[in-house]
Amino acid sequence: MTFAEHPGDLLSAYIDGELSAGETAAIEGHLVGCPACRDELTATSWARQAMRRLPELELPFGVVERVLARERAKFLPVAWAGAAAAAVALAFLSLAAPQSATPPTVGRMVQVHAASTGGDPVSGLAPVAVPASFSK
Amino acid sequence: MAEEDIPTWEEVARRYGRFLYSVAYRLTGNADDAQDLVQEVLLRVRRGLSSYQPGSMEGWLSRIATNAFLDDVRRRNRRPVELLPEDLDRSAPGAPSADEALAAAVLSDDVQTALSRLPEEFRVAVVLCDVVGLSYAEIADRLGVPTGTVRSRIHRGRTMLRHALAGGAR
Repeated sequence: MTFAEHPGDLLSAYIDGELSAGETAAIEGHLVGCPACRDELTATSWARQAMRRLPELELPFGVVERVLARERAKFLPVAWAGAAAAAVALAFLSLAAPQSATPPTVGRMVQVHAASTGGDPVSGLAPVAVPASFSK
Repeated sequence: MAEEDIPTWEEVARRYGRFLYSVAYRLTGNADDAQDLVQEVLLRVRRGLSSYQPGSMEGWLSRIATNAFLDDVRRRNRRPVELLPEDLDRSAPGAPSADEALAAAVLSDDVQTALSRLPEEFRVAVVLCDVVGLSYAEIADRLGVPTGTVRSRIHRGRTMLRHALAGGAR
């Protein structure tokens, strides 16, 4: 296989190792007798190297943070809606639930505590009478 | 593959941010569009990380970046294919943003200037080959064009680059 004309586009593919063995041999055969293509090959290689030498860039500060903020903003209303729905459900359940037990009065709690401790743990005195007003 | 091999989204963002931004900057040609592209890629990564198969994270990210970039190009149809003017020079229209100025100071600004002014289809092919490091077959698959088209775009892109750099940007 030989090239009667200049290989043109194939020169980059040749540099990149993207040609078959037959195409590679044909290009190399052409290059031997074609100074113009040799010059083009050199210039193309230079452009390729210039591209490949471009340094990696620093990601500007704030790009990642903006994405995070955007994601949080997107999910925040959902979170609030969830919390509100949970609160409504709790309120509904507490109203709908049967009031099976009467909450103990303060007086009753004082009586239970006095009976269990046997007196004032600080003064050592016998338990005082529960004020009448607490017993109601 | 073990689950612990899949990084968290934050790890991807921190570890591959430079790579992503570099690819995005080369593809888009300017800092603002590059940042927008990185953000779009990170959002897609966040949604798709669970489907990531451990392997080449950079290959996966560059695929997402290329797809996002091409989606944007198709959606906006912002820059129809045009031939590069013969007298390509260094004077880019408009004042560069602070980020662009900073990036230009860091990278080889003449090459970047010439690259930014390449018609999109040539720029994408060259970037995928020389920056991302894809094979011609991979580029063809990613762009949905025949390998012969990729071969032509890469060579023509490099030819435009060297003419631009030799003609005024060097």
